[in-house]
Amino acid sequence: MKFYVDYITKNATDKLTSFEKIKMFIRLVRQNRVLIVEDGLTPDEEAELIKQTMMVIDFDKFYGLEFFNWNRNVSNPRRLFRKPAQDDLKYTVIAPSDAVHVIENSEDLLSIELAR
Amino acid sequence: MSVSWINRILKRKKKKNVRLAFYGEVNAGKTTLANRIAQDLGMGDLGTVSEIPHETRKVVKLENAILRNERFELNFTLMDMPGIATTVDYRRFVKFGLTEEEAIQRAKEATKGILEAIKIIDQVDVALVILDSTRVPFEQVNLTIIGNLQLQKIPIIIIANKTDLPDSRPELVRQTFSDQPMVALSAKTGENIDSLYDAIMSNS
Repeated sequence: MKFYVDYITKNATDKLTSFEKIKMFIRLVRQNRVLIVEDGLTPDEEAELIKQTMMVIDFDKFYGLEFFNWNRNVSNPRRLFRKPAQDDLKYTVIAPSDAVHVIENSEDLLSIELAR
Repeated sequence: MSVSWINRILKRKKKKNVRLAFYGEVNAGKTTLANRIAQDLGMGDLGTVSEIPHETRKVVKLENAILRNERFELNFTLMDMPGIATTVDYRRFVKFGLTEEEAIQRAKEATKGILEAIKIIDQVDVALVILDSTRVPFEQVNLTIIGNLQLQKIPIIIIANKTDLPDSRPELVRQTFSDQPMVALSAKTGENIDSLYDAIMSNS
């Protein structure tokens, strides 16, 4: 299977509502695209992503997706509730199920392996 | 200390029945813990425990249960939620011996259950987030659940479950969620379950 990687800028999603944004992400993921979303998703957008995903799983070709966040400038990535710093950068990676395997997710490096 | 005690009593009077919900990933041990609590309260099991993922596919409630200690009495409804996941692949269930038809039916029910569990978040008074302490605690689903509970300002108790297993690392759970109350326990053996009851009393 061939996967494509799309970097989605903040500019591309700024004018969309959360609902529209999530709908677009799911449409792209269903086309075998791995998305790197600049500025990431908020917790309620993440919940919306799960909800909308559950509504479109078709038990034929689409079984769901995976997503995770990559935070830059995090002094201790395992400590989740650190007060966010002004220069923190957040990205959310959204991918078809089993399409990616995270090799490293640290402050300075996000390394992922794409499935074939 | 006495003011906080009075506040708790007043709060308790306002809220007669606390809705206590179990959230967490699939197969984290939510139903095992719910059954343990139900048994401790002299009631029957709430649900069936299975190694096949998504055994709990509907919100199961234990209503009007009462927890007591020397100082407090707590009337609560326990809600055992379906495990949250971002993928529901029926082919995984077939590997456990289900027919394709049974597996697809299970998957359909599981997606509905996940939707229901997320939609119900704003009706919860206290959330117990159950983590399998043999796995890494920073799985995205756990973070999403906790992020949303925090957004709704719902008190959270983190449970590091499965401490009876040799790979259990409750200290990693504590380190990850250091700003939240955390109880390490084994729902299966009942080890440290009294600390959970204390934590529920203090956070409800």
